[in-house]
Amino acid sequence: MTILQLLQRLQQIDRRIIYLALVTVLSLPFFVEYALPVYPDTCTRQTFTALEQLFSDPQTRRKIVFIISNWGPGTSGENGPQFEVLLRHVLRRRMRFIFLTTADDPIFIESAQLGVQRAIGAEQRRALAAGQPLPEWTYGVDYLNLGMLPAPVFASIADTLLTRTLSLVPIDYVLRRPLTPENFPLLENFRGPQDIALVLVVSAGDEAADVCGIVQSQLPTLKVATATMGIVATDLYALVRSGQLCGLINSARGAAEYLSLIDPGAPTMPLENSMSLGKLLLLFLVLLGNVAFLLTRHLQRAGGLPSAELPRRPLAPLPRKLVLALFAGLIAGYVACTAIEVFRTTHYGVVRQRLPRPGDDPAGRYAPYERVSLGALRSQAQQLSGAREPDRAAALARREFARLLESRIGEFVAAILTLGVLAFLIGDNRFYRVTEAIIIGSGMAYFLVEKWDKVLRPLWVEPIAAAATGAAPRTGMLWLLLLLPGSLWYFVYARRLRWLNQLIVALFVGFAIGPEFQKQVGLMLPQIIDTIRPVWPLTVDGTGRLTLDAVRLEHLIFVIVLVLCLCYFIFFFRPRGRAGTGLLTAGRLALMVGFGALFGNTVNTRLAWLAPRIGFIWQEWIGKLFAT
Amino acid sequence: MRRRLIWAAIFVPASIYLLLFFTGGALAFGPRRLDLSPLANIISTCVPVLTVMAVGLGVVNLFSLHGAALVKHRPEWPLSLVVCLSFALTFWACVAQNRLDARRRQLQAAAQAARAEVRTFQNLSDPAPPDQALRHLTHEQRQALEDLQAFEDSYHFEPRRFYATYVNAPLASTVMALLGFYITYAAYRAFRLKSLEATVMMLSAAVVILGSDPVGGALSRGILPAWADFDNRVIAAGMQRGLRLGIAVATIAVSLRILLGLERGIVDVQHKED
Repeated sequence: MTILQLLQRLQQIDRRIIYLALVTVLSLPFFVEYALPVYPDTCTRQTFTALEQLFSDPQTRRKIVFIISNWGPGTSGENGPQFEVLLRHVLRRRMRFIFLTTADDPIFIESAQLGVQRAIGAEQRRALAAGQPLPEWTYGVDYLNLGMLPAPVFASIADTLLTRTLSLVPIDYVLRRPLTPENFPLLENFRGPQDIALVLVVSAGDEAADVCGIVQSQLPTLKVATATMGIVATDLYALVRSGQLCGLINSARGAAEYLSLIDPGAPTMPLENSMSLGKLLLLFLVLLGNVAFLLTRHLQRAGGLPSAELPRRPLAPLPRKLVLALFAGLIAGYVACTAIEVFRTTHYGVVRQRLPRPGDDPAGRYAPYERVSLGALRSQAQQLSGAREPDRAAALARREFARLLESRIGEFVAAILTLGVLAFLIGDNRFYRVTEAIIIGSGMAYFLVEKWDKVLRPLWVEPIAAAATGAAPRTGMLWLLLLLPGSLWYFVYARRLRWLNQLIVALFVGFAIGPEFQKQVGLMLPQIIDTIRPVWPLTVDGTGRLTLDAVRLEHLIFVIVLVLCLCYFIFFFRPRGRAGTGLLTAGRLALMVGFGALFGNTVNTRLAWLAPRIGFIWQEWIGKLFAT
Repeated sequence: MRRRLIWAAIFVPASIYLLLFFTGGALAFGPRRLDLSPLANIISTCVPVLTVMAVGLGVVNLFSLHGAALVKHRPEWPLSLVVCLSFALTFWACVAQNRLDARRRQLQAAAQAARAEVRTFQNLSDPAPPDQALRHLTHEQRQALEDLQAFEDSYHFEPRRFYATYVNAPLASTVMALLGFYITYAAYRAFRLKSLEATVMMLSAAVVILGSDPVGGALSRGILPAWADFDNRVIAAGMQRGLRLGIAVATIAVSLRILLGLERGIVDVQHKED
């Protein structure tokens, strides 16, 4: 192999080798545990301080935290830890909260409900480990799930959602009862936005900007904080600077930083270490490619190498035998894991998360999981119930055993589906296509039933039925008129009347552009005001000495970048001469720095989605096999 | 006529929002005041309901495609069978779960009166032992409490929760996780220091990546995290605010054009097709 070939090979490594290297690197921290310090950034600290102040103020403690949870499994790698850590803070300070989703997918509210349960579990485990009494939170008294209100354009319902919540949501999600203080004591002190201590938006998008632009512009005292994906967070830093957002959690690493603030001294977990190694591999590969690229160019220019480039070959498919061997290995491994699990469950019991014990050393490290038999569960239940009701204790033990078993079976199902999707990395294959078919079929059925049950029935069918039976005013029958625009969706199938379908699409365009004026004006004016403030960094202090004001210096740099970017986009007048070109170049470079930060945050996002899946395979599926 | 109807469909809802915005939610005529907030409530209810009414489109499309593949035995018909089976299974799971939830709510509602009675008795003669409080209940109330306890103490398979946790969640998150592989490969292949701009962009990206990384923080003793923080909060935020200002003006301009029917692309699509 010549030097040229070697250098070009280094720039064109087969993608499957890179995927394999990434999986290997991401897996390492799940086998070799280590802890590194966490450095919370300014925004995370600011969020923590703002929330602490709100939660310790006796005036706001009587109010509620309003959580908009617009995230689902797709972005759970980032939004899941964010939701959990913020909720743990809310729970720990005993703030009452209500939550809902405005996302179109019914799974989002299910994710939020599970997230609340996880956060409560985490706080209870923390209290147990610290030897404190078990804290409890009661549904309807301490928190409330308002369910889902799908709105493709969040801005179209943002105002009503926050200012007249109870007129928009008829029933709760869990108990399906009308939202009255009699049914839910939490609502006794909740009349409107004046009773909201904080609007917390945990989402995969920038709904927080809509809340700031539409609602906060009318209610300037409304506090809004958000936790979002790294790729979106870059866009929201400007809102934190202008004070429109009182807090911002950026990506999964922001969640880890926040955790280190609410639980000082908490080390990095394998999951964070896994993401970290993934990022390092990415940087190493970029460096490798660039070194090879620059060396090739240098040698070619110096005449040491021929200037001709090697032809780019299309990626060769994997040999059929190798693919078959891979799948055979996968099936054999899966069957072996199943056999081991069946054997160990039969002999040692079912796996559960290890509970803290009275004799545990607080500084000690213990296995995360343990196996427990039905007999052990029964004796635990008898101890807890005071041995007064042995039959009930036995029933509770059986229930717990069945739940743990169900969860383990579920993990095996989840594992095969995860591997099915990951199989796409070696190219299109039947295993992936079957998994894809499952995604399509099951997703559609879930959409259909849940949207009927959680949206159409309570918001539309039941008011009409109530009006028809006389239980509500007859004007409720007017909701039937929605059938007219609703049916327009289906004219897409009528060849001659297809244009009628355009009407409903146009209606939604109207829903989208209507609130846009208010949003953009409400969003931009505070930012313009924030930009136009003193920038000169040198000030004279009380003793007459010249001092450098760090805040002003930072603002000066901020304004320079902003002005350079704006200059670059002025097309009706292009500055000429060296100064003009220099100005445009500086504008372009400022944009590039910003885009670089955006790319960096995108990498954080993508690896935050990937690492938990690798973690699931090693820690939850395979790791639990060997729990004792 | 068609164009006017489509334009009206855009104009009417958008105007209602504008009316609400400019009037502050109420119109005052001397001593009279017309509250417009019910209008906002109606629109806010219409949006989710009309959104959900479109779900049927997906079902029709799914079965017209895969049903035809099954009936006509097209080459990939086994996959269509998997689609239909998984649809049927999940449909059953969701319906079964809804029935289970309804049963639970029914038992809870039946026991609600008995629970309130026990609570009242305990409050009146505090601290009354629970057994003593239970003795004051009627037979039906006691039965309702026992039924609820028996239901809650026994195991019930919750198919929707199982589907959401162990099928939907891993599938959706793994599909998104694939992007982690692609971005790594794309960065390796495409990020080349071919110009000053590319170099600056790569340096900025490297600082943000390393600065948000525990290893970067540990190796640089906190310098890289501080640098990345500055990059995000000041430089990137400055750039984003600049872009946002431009976008805001453009959004308002385009919205106005659509509202006034000047943006022909939207109102004329069907016209062109015809």
